[in-house]
Amino acid sequence: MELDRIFGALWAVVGSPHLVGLIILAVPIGMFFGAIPGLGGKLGIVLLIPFVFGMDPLSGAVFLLAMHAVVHTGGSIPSILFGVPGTGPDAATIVDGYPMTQKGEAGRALGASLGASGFGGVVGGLFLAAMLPVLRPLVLAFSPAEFFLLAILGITFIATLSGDSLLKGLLVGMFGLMLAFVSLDPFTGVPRFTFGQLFLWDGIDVITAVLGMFAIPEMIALGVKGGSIAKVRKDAARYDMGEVIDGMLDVFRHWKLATRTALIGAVIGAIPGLGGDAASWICYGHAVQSSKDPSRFGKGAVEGVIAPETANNSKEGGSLLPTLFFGVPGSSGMAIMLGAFVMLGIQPGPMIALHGMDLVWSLIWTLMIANILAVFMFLACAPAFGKLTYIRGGLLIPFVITLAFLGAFLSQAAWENIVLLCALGVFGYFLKKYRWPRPPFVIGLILGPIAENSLHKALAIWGPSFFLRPLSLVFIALIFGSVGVYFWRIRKNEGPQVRYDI
Amino acid sequence: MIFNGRIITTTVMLAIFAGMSVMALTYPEKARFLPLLVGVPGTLMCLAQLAFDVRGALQDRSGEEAAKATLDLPREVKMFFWLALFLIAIMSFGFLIAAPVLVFAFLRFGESERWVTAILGGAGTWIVLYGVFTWLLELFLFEGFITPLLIG
Repeated sequence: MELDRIFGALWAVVGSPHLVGLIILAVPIGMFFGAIPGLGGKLGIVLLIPFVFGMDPLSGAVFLLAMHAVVHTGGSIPSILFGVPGTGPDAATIVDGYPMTQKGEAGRALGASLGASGFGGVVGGLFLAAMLPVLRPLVLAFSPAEFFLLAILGITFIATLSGDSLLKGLLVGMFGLMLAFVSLDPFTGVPRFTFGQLFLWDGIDVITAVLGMFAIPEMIALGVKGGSIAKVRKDAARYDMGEVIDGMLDVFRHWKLATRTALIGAVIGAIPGLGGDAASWICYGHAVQSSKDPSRFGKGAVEGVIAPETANNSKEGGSLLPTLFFGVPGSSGMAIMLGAFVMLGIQPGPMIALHGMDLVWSLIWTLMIANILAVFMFLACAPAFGKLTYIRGGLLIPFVITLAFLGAFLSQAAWENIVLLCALGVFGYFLKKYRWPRPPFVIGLILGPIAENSLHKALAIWGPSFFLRPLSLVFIALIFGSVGVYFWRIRKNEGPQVRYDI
Repeated sequence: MIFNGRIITTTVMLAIFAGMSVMALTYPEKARFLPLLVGVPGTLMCLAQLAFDVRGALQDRSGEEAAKATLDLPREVKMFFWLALFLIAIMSFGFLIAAPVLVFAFLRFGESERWVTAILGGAGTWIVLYGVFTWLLELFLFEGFITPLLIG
């Protein structure tokens, strides 16, 4: 009976030319919104909502979800080619994707990103399907105490990502944390480090900070160095379909890592409030930590592309869980999606498990179909995209700078972000020049607010005894395990672990 | 050694941590707890890094790093000049006017590209900004502070 429902829903999607047409239309739109810095999936849903007015609930939901599901597949393109993240969660892809481009392996990196995104999307859908029976206790098990400890676990990865100098890595991570405190204090309402600027009351925009720390310094460095992004001669690199497919096959060569990071991403996506940025960085940290040769990371290791990209797409499946079944959005994008669902006449909440399972299965299939379709639609363009990295830097710089300015402005519609972008960009250039690792900055910036909010809430509810909750103890063990593995590797002379070229 | 970029970068980082820690002292207890928990150790660690950098600069007798820094300086100044120009122009005249003009100017005068390339670059930028963002997506692009005054 249940199988009838599951495959009936699949047939309802693939057997309907109308729905298939909507998915085919939504996929390139989603990739476009992902590839342009500052646009992103949230804005995509907002802008597309007027187009789904009057559609039946299934068609509207399928169209919006298919668009939103592939945003990060598109977001990896500028991250890999130009070091400019299309969306916040794609920033982790820069760390190894951009050095691969510099080595003349843009095609392989794009292929790996595509394969990983498709694989992650399918795993995310399967995760959503598998978790349906055990949904409620799992989501409810996470309290502020576990949120806090999960954020601390993420922050411990700063050590792993510190590269040549642990001290510099920790300092950059702590700098990110300090900037995360720029906002209205969530408990007292006191403006902290805002200098009387209203736009800072909501905190420093992550897109602006990431563009400032990565895109602007890379363009200044390209202008100083001269030449093109790729450091190898054009005839020494391969930009054909074979190279892209080779990258896709890398995902299956590293299938254990891809499966683990896809599952981690889906689980993080299912926990409301953690967000996709955390998923991609935690998975990147896991890839470094679990690698037999961590020294390759930061210099163009394909696993460094696979891990964040699987997580980026699998988290969408995970975040659909609490959105549909509890009416609690799993991410900020899903919060807008939730509004769109209600507008379409779909009422998310526990009752959907009784009366809306046909719709749920249709959405699960849509998620998987959109991700697979995105791979094939993008596959044909990938070799041509790779050749862009041989355009002279001088031709590329003004366009990328304009795009970065545009992304910073559009992310919050605040002109002040453009000034912040330039300030962070100049500082980021000197951090790059004097070999301060920049990835820990993003971890600190993203996990800082989660850690602070959760800590205060946990202390208010349980006091310091929140550390003794059963799930808290599991996370504490993971934190000590993570730090222990780092020092064990140092002791075994496997460090320095990562050496960043960006 | 005084103008060693490595030392200046660490000093800026030290100033940020120390400044924010001092500012945090003025906030209520709950609001200052985590900023101080991060800021004070950060300040001390910056001091340690500064000591490493100063020692490194004193030991760099070959002057290799200083020579490289001198070599990069004119190009860095040029890039910072263009970045500042982009910032000032976009803040003054907004995206639709400043960005195409600056793309054209950078290509023609900054990179000595052919006139045709520079004009196509500028025109292409305007077409994308207006066509995609303003016309198709109906997004508001920053108009700058001077353009609205001129238009009235």
